Amino acid sequence: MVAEWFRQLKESANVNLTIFYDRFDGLTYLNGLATTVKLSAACLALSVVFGIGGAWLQRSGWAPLRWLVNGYVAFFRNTPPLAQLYFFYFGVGSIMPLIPDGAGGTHRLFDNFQWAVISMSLFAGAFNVEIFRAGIEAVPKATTDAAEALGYSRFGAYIHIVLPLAFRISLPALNNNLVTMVKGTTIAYAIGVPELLTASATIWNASTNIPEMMNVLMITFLALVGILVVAMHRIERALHIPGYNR
Amino acid sequence: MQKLLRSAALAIAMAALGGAAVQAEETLDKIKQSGKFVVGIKVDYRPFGYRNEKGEMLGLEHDLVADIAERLSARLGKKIEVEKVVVTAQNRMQFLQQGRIDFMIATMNDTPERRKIVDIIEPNYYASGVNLLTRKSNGIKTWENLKGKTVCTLQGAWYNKMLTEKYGFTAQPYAGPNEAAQATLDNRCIGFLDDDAHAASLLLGGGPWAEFEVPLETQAEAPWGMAIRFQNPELKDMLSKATAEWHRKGTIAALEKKWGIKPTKWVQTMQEKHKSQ
Repeated sequence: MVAEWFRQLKESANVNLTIFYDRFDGLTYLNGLATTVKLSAACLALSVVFGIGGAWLQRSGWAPLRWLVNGYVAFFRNTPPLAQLYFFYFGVGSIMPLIPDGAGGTHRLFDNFQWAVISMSLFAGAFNVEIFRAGIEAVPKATTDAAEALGYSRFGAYIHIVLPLAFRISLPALNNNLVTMVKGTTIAYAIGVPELLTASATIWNASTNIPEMMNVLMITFLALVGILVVAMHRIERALHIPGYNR
Repeated sequence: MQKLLRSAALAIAMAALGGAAVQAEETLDKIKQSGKFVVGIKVDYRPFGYRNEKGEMLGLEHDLVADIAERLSARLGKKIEVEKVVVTAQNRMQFLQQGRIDFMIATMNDTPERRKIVDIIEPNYYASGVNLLTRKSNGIKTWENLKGKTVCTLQGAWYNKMLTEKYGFTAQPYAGPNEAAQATLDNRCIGFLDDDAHAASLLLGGGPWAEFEVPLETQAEAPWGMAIRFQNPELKDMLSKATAEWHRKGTIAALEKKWGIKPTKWVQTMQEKHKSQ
């Protein structure tokens, strides 16, 4: 039914949306959507972990640990993400050990999807470190002093007092970075991860419907990022402490 | 003022047209006068065109150029020297249009879009298709063996969808042949869905490719074309006749053998077709 309508749209208006009537193109695009969602979710979670961990280590009393975090932030913030992806996949990925795949063959440790997750999480994580650092620094010294006076250990005060406040302060900046990251998952195109851009390119190269697929791709990302923004705003509102920082 | 502008534009257009026409008409005369045949040819596509250890240019296409030069010498009644200009896939048509070369033989696929830009000689002299560059140890024998496997491909290749749909493998598309080749060497995929002539050239290069093979029946064959500038009927006619003769006499098949290329069905078919004519 729907397929028929879109086939007629091609005939009558010359708008060729193959993804709605060609089975192969439709499945390719759906798979692309699923891959982008998985890729984004994995990068979202990992990059926040890297950010919180990095911000904690940055306050460590042991200088080499602080240098390590600063080095990490400098490396990933000061080099282009596409170059990082190529570096990891072809530079580091090529010397990974071969592991048996259970079917008689072998493959490299970490496939292209996993390298995309590692590379992009590290990139977004470097920004998250700075975002959380700003949040932590914005928590008044008096608050930490008060926690210590009540008998909290340094770690206890960080987990129970500083981090919850810092997280709330960091949220708007974090939202921005996560939105940029989700859009940035399209660079996985370069190493053949079948996400939305790769899927769209496969479709438009065979069906030569570039303008149509460009529009579909844009609308899809508008919707995906829209959902993320709404979710993040919900979290922001739910975590809001009445009267704090206003 | 407007009138002046318009006439100026017209004058420029006329000059450009005139210039092109004069240049075009003269190719064969120019060769005769200068005694030089300026050819655009590749050296990055072994064994069709490459350099040996001494830096000399050689290959199947270089042999064909030598043959054409002999025919030119005979026809023009004087010794014609070949002057080779190295071209790449990115600049070969521009070089021909701008007159930096008079003739182009550079592993170029004959397409309708290209026929609008340069004059492609008929019949075509060679053809290549799609095959799989894979490790011998993978034991791939037929296209059907690829079902469910991951295959490295090139972004933008029109046959990706057709072959994926037909044989049920997963395509992993890369930006260029070098990335796809590297990913194949790194065991990212079962093999590289490559142009069979390019795959053959990698195999001949040896090194890590010694463990690879091109085992399948070639699909989606597309012909290659030599090209000249438009409005050179005499030169075009001469080149057409030469190509037809190569097919009739089995010159191309003999050159495939000389350069260690697996005999292609296309060449055999062309030979039979031209013999019967």
